[in-house]
Parts: sequence; C-alpha cells; structure tokens
Amino acid sequence: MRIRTLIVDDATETLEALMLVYSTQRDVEIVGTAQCRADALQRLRSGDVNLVSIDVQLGREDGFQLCSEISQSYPNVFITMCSMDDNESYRNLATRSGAHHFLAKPMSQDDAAKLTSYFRAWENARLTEQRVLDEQTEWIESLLSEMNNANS
Amino acid sequence: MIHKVMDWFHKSVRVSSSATRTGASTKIVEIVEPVALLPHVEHGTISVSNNQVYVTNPEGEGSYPTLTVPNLSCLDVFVDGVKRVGRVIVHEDQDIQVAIHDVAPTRKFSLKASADAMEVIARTEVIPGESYRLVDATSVRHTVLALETRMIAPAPLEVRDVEVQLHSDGYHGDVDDVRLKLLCNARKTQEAVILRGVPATPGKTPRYMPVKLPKVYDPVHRRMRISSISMGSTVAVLDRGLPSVPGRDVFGNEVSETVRTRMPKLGQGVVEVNERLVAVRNGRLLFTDTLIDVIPELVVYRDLSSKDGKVEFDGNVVVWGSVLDGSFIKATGTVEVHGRVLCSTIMGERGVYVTDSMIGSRAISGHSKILYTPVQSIVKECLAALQRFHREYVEFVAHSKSRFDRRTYLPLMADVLLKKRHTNLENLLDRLATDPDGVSDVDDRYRQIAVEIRAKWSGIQRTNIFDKDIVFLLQLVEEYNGYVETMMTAEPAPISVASVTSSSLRATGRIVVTGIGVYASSLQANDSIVARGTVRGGFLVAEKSIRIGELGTPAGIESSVKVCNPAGKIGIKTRHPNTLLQVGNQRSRNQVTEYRTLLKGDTYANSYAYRG
Repeated sequence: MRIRTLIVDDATETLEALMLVYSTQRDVEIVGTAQCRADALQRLRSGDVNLVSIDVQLGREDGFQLCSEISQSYPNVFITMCSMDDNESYRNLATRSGAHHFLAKPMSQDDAAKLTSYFRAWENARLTEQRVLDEQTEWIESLLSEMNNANS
Repeated sequence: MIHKVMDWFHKSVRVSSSATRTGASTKIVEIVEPVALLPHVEHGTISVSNNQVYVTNPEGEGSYPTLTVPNLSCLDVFVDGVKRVGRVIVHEDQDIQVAIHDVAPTRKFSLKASADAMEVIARTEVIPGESYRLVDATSVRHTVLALETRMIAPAPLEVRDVEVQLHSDGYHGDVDDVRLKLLCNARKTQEAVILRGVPATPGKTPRYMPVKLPKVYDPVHRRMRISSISMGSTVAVLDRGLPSVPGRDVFGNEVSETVRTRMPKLGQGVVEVNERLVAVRNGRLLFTDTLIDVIPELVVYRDLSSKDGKVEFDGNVVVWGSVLDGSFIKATGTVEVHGRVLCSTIMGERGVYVTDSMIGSRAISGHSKILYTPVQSIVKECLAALQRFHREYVEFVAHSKSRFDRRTYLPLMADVLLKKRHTNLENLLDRLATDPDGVSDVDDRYRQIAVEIRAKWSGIQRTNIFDKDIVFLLQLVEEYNGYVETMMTAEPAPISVASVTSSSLRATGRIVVTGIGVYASSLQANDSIVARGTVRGGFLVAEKSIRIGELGTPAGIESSVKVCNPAGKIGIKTRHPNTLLQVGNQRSRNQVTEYRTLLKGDTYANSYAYRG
C-alpha cells in the first residue's frame, strides 16, 4: 500500500524540497501540496490522504492549530510536524496538538525512510486495534440479535 | 668585654696620696694585685667530635653540662648502658656511647623485551643510602645532638654481569655498549634500550606501472586524460620489485617485513599476459590504487530523450548533448553529460558529471552503496544466526540417531528449533522475505534469497526442512554477504554539476556545484558539499563539511544546511536571514545577515561570524 502524502508548507522552495525528499521513498506518493490551512483542509476532504506533513509556521497561521483540527476531524491520518526550530517545547506542543511525529529541518532521505517506518508501525497498530474493535462490535451485535429473537 | 670587666674586678689596688705643687693632696689608686670580688667558678663542658661525646666536670660551684638527645631512629645514645632520649645531665664518670645506623643503598636491575620484540629495555632502580655524622661541638655547657646526612650511591654494576644475564634470559642482538655503561653507573633510577634486534630490510613491493598512452583534453574534469583503449592494447606492465631481507628479533626469531601495500584488483576488462596487463575490450582505462580495469564506454553524440528508452549500461556513459525530459540513465561506471539534464533520472555508480544545469531531475552516484546500506547489517546478522542455527541443528540430528521415531520427527526439527530457540533468525528471514527496501527489484541475487525463504522457510513448508535446505540457504546468504561487502567497499562516487534547480542529488562522495548555485533542491552527500554560488531554499545535508558562497536571500527564504558529523563544519561567505545551520546537535538560526560565517561542531570552540 502506498503512503498517500499531503505536504503543507507556506514556503514554495521548502515545499519543493520536501516533495523531492519524500518522493525518494518508493512507497510514498505525493497526492497534493498546500500553502495554507484552507487549501490543506479542502484537500483532506477528498478522503484519500494517509499522511500529512505540516510546517509549524504557516505564514500568519498556526501549524499547531491546523494539526489539532486534522487530528480531531481525521483520526486515521498520520500527522508529522516539520520545523526549523528543534526544541522541547515545540515537540511537546506538537504531541499535545495530536501530531504523531516531529521532524526538524533540514530533512534528509534517511529521515524520510524513518518516517515511513514509523507510519507503517502506527498503521499496523491502528488496523489491529480497529480489527479488534470491529470483532467486538460484531459479537455484541450478534448477542443483541439473539436476545431479540429469544424475546420474540 | 666581659673578660675585661672580670679582669678589672680581679685586680688588686693600692690607694696612696701625693702632694701636688699647689699643696693639695691627691689620692692615687694603683693596681697592685687582683682583688677577688667573686668566688672562682668553672662549669662543666661537653664536646662532640668524631661521633664521640666528651664531658668535663665542673670545678668549684660550676654547673654540670647537659646533653639533649633527639628522638631519631638512626641515632641511639646510651649513658651507662641505658638508652637516653631528651635532655640529660652528664658528667665525666659516665660511659656515653653513641650508635649511628646508616642506611645502605640498594640497586635493582631488570630486563624486559618491547612489544614488538625488537628491543630489550633495561631498568635500574636506585635507592640511594644515607650516612650520618654527629655535628661537632667544642666545650659547650649545653648541646643538642644533630646529625649531618650524606647520600651514598650504590656500587656500579658490572657490564659483564649484565651481558651474562642477557644471554641467560635468551636475548640475542646488538648490545648498545654506551647506554649499557651509563645504565650500570647510573646514580638514579633509569631505563634504556641496551639491546636491539636486526630489523628487516624492506624490499620493493611489486606493482603495475602504467604505460604511456595518448591523451585527450577532458572538459568535464578540465585535465588531460587517456583516450579510449582498444582491445589488445597493453595498459600496464608488472614491476616485480625486490624481495625484502628478513631480520631477527631479540629472541632470535626471524622477522619479515610487513607488507603495507596491496596490489590493485584487476577488473573484467583487463587480463595479465606475460607480466603485462592487456585490455580485453574497448573502453576507457580506469587505473586507481584499488582497481585497474577497462570500462566500456557508451558515447551518445546527440541529445538523449525518453524516445531512446531506459539506458542501462555496464560501463561509462557519455552524452555529448542534453538529457531531456523523461530520460533514464543507469551506468556501472560514470555518467557524463555535456549539456543540461531536464526532468530525468541519472545514476552513475562511479560518479555523475554534468557540465550545465540540472532542472527537475534526480541524480544518484554510488547507488549500490546507497541501496545496500540498509540491507548490509541485516544480511550479516542473518548469516551469523543461520550458522548458529545450522550448528545446533546438526547436534540435534546427531542426538536423535538413536531414536526409533527419528524419521517422523526429523523434518519438523528445524521448525521447532526456529520457533523455540532461534526467534531472532525467524524475524530476520521474515524481514529479508518481505524486502521493505525494494532491493529485490534491482538485485537478482537478493530476489533469489527472498524467493527461497518464501518457498521453503515460511508457513507450512517449514515443517519439511532438511540439512541440505539449510546448507543451500546458508550458501546463498554467505555469497550474498560477500557481494554486499564488496559493493560497500567501493570508492565514494562524486557528483559535479554547474547548477541545480528543483532537483534531488544523492552522492556517496562529494557534491560540487560549480556555477550559479542551488535553488529549491535537496542535496545529500556522504562526504562534503561545495556550492560556490548561491543556495536558495531547499535542504543540504552532508556528513563532513559544507562550504557555500551565499546562503538564502535578503528577503529571508527558508534555507537549511546540516552536517551530521559533530566534528564537521559549515563555512559560508554571506549568510542571509532566516537560514538554519546545524553541525551535530548544534543548531544556529539567524535573523540578520552575517559574513564569513564558520560554524564548527561541539568539539570545537571557535565558531564565529561577522555581522553586517
């Protein structure tokens, strides 16, 4: 399964460089880019994005706020925050905003490879959890239908 | 003065009167004989001479002399046979004996051979002795015994005794007489090399000498280089060199010279005939310290485009034109483009050289090393684990020979061993089979291993494994491990290009941008990056160092530069605002323009920048 990736960054040059770095990974497919919050949310509505890379500073907008919105509205999307500043407070803020990963610029191809590994591990854990949830739901529903049949 | 006064008091006087001319009488005092005003007193004295104590008794009402004996370990004073310490009153009739205990000097001598057994080091440890003597005193009433100390050196060693010891310890070689004599007579602790073995006389190592071949000018590298070689040409001659003469160590063992240089490997393009290297194919001569080969060359005298299809060549590729949109070039040698590269992919195992710009393209040099880096450690670990597994399997099979139900359970043994005792190997085989790095897409050997694992070592098939299957897989993995290690030891491959725009460059060697600069691109080098022009936007990541003419723009375009090695450095002539530099863990982001910036890693203290 290819990782459908959306890149959000206000700087055109950085956006291009990020595209180049992500596309070196064979299982990453760049499905779109956005330079502001509105464009990013519009792109996400199409529903075919697995991974979003968000810059911490989106011009006048706040990347952390966008991250919170996406994590609440699209819980199945893996979010990674990118920043020129690599400090503890940004990392903590990213985690609190719902980000799954934090990357400090400049990014290398090895960083992109590690990101895809993290994504795979997260996706496997999520799917396993989802499967368990689905099985439990199915069991409860079958129990309910049996009870209903017994009552009728 | 005191004596004068005493004399005065001891003199006797006569008082007489005499008349003067005027008739007055004058009293004259004349000294006639001493007048004894005080009674006679002679005190006792004590003298120290030649380590003996001499006492004289007092006379009359004189006082006896006193002697103070200090509490010293080397001095014993006996008065009438009793040891005394402290202040003591002494007189003539006492028997005063002084015992002084000198400290004798010591000398220890030892020999040891050096680590390489080519020298014998002698050590003499000297502890000088001490000789004591009482400080003299002459006729004093009170004295404190004090000691004078004199250092005594030990007796010198006999040179002959040392030589005898050398022989008895089994040492052979040339004795350094001068040093030996100095050591024997040393008056303090010293070490010296007194015997040396005979070192090996180095010979001349054999090597290949290149023959003179016609040269042409290379515009990419801007130097003369050998033109194409035709099949059958002699490219080098073997110089056999001279053999070395072995030496002898201090134990008499023969010591041969360590060979420092190895002969370069011969590639498939050359063969040795009568001590000459002859080209077996047409191509370009590659003559380095590690490899001599004739690499075939594909020369394209026009622009290359997607219509030409994928160009994959075992050798060098030279394009005398541009590489246009959609092209793909992959070479096991170098790729040279004497023009531009537009929206294409270029992979050169030994380097990529572009004389003009790269736009929207991708260039990789040393791709095998990049490809095999994530796989190398896993293959090595898998090989070790598989060898352990095989050893244990063989032991189990040997133990099971006595059992009657052996035939039933033997095929299951490998599966049980894997599950119960070799879970690590199980995970590694699974990793190799799934191939997340996509190596099997480009590597047939890896694909063969992955297919074998999927066919025999996963699922229900694992319950039917015999020794021959294990040996087969072991052989495959061992050969592949050797192949990967060979690929990983390939020389770093550089990338050289005039300018880079919206492109991705990855090199196992250096990246050099000779022209205008870099715009919105990703550059990653395992060695260093040099961009003489401007770098605007994008990411530059190098292992050792980065040098840039101008980074960023006055408008503050985000540009990031990183050197992974904490001992590396970044040098920039002009650094505009909003640019990030990182060396190791040290990050620097600026808000004003700086000039001649040099950022060094944590191991240095001298980073500096000049603010505009």
